[in-house]
Amino acid sequence: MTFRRLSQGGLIDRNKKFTARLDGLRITGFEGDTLASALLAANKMVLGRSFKYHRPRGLIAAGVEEPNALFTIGKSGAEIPNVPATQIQLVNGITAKTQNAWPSKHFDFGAINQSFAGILGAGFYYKTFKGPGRKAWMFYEKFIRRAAGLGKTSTASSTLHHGTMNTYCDVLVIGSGPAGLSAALHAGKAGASVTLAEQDFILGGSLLSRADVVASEWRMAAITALETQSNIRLLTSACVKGIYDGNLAVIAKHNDTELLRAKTIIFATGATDRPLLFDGNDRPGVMLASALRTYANRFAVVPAKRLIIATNNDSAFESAAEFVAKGVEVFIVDERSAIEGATLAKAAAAGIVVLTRSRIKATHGAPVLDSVSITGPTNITLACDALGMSGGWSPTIHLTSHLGAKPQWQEAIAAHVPGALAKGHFVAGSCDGIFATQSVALDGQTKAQQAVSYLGISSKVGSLNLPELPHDFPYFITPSKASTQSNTAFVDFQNDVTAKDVKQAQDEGYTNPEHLKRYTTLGMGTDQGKTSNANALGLVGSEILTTFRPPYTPFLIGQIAGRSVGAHFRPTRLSPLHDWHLKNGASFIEAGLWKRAWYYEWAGKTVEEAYRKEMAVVRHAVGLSDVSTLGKIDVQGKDAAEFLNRLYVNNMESLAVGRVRYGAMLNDDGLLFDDGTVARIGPTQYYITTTTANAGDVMSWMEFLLQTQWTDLNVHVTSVTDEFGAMALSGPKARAVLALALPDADVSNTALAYMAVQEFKLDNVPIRVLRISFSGELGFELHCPADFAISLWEHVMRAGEPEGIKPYGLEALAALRIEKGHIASPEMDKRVTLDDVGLGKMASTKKAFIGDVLRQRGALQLTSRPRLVGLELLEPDKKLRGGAILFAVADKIEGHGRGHVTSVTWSTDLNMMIGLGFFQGDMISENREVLAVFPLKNETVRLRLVSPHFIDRGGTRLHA
Amino acid sequence: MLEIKTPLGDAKFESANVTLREAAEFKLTLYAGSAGTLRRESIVVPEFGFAKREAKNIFFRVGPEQVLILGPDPQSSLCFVTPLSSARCRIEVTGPKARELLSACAAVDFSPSAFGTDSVAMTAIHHTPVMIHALPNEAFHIYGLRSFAVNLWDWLLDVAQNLR
Repeated sequence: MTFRRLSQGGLIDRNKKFTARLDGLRITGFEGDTLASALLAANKMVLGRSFKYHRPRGLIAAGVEEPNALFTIGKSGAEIPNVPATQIQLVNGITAKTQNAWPSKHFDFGAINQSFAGILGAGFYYKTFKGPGRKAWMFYEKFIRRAAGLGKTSTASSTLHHGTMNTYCDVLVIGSGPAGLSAALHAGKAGASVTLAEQDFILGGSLLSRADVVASEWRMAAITALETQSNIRLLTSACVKGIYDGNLAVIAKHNDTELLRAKTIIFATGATDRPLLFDGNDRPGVMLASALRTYANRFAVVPAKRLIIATNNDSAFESAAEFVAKGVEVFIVDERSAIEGATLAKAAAAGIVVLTRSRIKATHGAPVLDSVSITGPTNITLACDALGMSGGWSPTIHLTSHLGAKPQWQEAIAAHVPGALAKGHFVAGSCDGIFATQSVALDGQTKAQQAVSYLGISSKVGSLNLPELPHDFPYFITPSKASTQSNTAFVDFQNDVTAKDVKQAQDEGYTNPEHLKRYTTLGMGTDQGKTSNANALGLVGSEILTTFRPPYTPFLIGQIAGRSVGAHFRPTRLSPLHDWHLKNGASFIEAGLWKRAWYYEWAGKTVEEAYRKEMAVVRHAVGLSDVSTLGKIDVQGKDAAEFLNRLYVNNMESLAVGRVRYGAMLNDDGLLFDDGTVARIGPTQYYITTTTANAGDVMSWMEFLLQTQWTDLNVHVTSVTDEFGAMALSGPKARAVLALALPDADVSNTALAYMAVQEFKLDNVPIRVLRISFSGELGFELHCPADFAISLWEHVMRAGEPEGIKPYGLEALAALRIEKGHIASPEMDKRVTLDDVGLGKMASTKKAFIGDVLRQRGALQLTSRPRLVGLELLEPDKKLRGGAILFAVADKIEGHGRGHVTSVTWSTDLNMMIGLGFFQGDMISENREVLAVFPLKNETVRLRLVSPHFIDRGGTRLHA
Repeated sequence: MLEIKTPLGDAKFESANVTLREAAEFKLTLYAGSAGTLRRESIVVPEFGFAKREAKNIFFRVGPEQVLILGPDPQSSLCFVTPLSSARCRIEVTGPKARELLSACAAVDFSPSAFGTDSVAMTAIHHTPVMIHALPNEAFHIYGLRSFAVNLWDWLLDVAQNLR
């Protein structure tokens, strides 16, 4: 078979010649071509190999439904697999690679699979690769995946940039065929803001495939009219991938994504031609009749001499005459016994031979089509260049179903149309089962009137100038009753599912289309059954479609991710002191979204080396650490005390102004939620801090309670986490440094006692000083407006120079608190109780608080519950790891053990590795030896249980 | 002498399409109280989605009983007052494609008819909360959380550099 390019006609610009490369081979075409049309014009018929049997395959379609001619386009780092050649606009320099064929599409070793077609049918994998053991599939899978498949994604980082844009309009019209154009025109003239989205790179839809001048001129006039209206936005190469709640349409535009929210949507998405079932219907050269028409009229590419069109409906007759006019001999093979006389007369007048009550029995050619066998009243074999299949039209209803509308079967057209639509949705033209062009255009206008009316726009718009086409061609169809059970009659071209497979699945009980799909893979893959669903339903005698879900056509993962890649993968949060840390040798670590100073260069080049030195400075002199990431909440109102009393387990009402109290709060299930400090700034104002990890959750919890549970309380809460920079000044010399930094302030132990809060001013900047300590040393936290945080930090560092002050990072901060036995996020994993962490006595018995009732549950009161313990490593040459499972020495090492290690550190005071963890409460005794097992590294170490408070149990340092 | 360090160090980006700059050093205070209290204290309570200018202040309604005030603090003895000047960064967006840039960042209709002068949107950019205020002459202020300032700037810059 051969195809040829006509010397005139089509929507291509012969003056603009483009060159592409396919597998390194030079392919030329013109502006207006797709890669598919350029390949067809170049008579490239074998364009790839099929999924399972590696059969030679060529083009079938001209649109998004193309199942076979899939390529990987682009160069390394910007490769996109599985792109149909029909969707690739030909531009200079584009490169494409064949997929799923080795060593080439013309000679593919994988084709050996065809020899086993008899046993590789439906369910073969499920039946064959299920044993011998449970993990057998894991072994087989990699071989099967290598043998079958589509294109492969690159493992290299993509160089493609994907942007996202949010847009809005009154009316979204999807599709730019006659219905879409007239709908957009009418809605635009009525004054609505309109967006017309067309997946093709030019507007026109089915009009682009027609040969008649009237339709072409009307298309051009309509586009011109649309372009002149400022309230109409025309999008080309813009495929609507999905419709979501709130009429959100996700539109892929080249490599970008547009998120369009429309008040109404008109679906003018057209219809797709269906293949027919016969032996060898996948042979290169066998195509959809509508596709052949598109290639002929839009791209000026036609079969060299003879075309055979196999059909069961009238639509093929219309295009057949167009081929004759282009010098192609046409035979129509029609399954129907009754055909309108007028239709036959027109065909005869055009010189078309019509074989009625006939069908294609088989195709021939190696591998490309050269002839077909026809069965019917006359059994003949005809040589040909191409075979067009026209099995009837399936409305493209996918998008209408994304919000749950169930398609409905319409017998007259032997196809599904959209069911009950969502509010504000309208369907126009072929998508609604109307196939005649003039009627389609009229329907677009009608649906636009309805949409405008729905919007409440009262503007009166007269009728549009619709295309004055000859009387609409009739559309009579007799659903194809394929009797074939052949294993070369393909129902699903992309997944290599044959009529025999469907029959076999049916025989095995998979009659429901949903089951049939899963068992045979029919309707899966990148084309999602756009050409196969209708024929499959015909074979099993069902009218139930499987559910259409987004995306309508494949969507790049990068387009979903948008800009949220690389450094923007997730938001990053910085302390107001970040720049200082950066300039002063800090290494950073991620803590949630925060980037925190981990350790400083002054103390060492590795974290192991540095944090020990930083700890030592705090224990023996003075250090300064950034604690700005702590959650900070301003609580104000006449009921603020009552509110906090209900929230925290301990009494906050009795807290005096100017004092700070450590507090803990429970979830309503009685388990520990968070801890922190509560400072009473005034009679009706508190300043609370939360853990960094739970800052957002605590704030949300407070707002939830105030807005839904305790609406009678007069309390306002405001997150001031970002308002205040905060730094912890810790160590035996902390007071001396503070006195130097705040020379006008009395920071003595009397004036600023342990757990006191005072506000001072430095250069008129308010500085809130809290006498609290996380490190276990004499400590002060300085909170100031974040704008001044760096300046204050530098001021304190300068003041502390004579005392040897040094900055210390998160690792040292965490290590110091472990030595002191302060709990933090690793211990507060939302599974522990107050008693588990040794804070049971904090809970007030004189007031109610959240979680008080459920914390009394029997299961939470068991003495055997794991309780917080200190751990000392008895084997200095081994490593103690967080997450290790704890066992008694006599235990068999299996299962979940009796507890686990939560935090570990080197203790500068004890000169050994220590840790915190939880161990079965009724087995805890001081100095008991236990085992810590770390299965991931197959390690076991001996530990000693001790008090979780390793240093200064009397609190002498804190109160210094 | 303690000095102010703004979140973005007075960052600026200019192109033919859009100009971004940190519009630092502003006074922002949250006033909270019941509707009656706000009225008694003469705190202007604009409609949601709009800012209101009065004297040297701009008022933004940010919650049912919360008004954010830009400018000098109004006197109030009954409202709950929380200074937030340090808690926010402010980025000014101007240029012929300012609206396009904003549309690329947030799910808000920024068309002139829907988002005119003194329109306000409380929304999110790259998962972080922001308040966007339309100023006269096609300029916009984005108020973001200070801790996300660099993140927000980088995001806007990425969009600005890729506007076509």
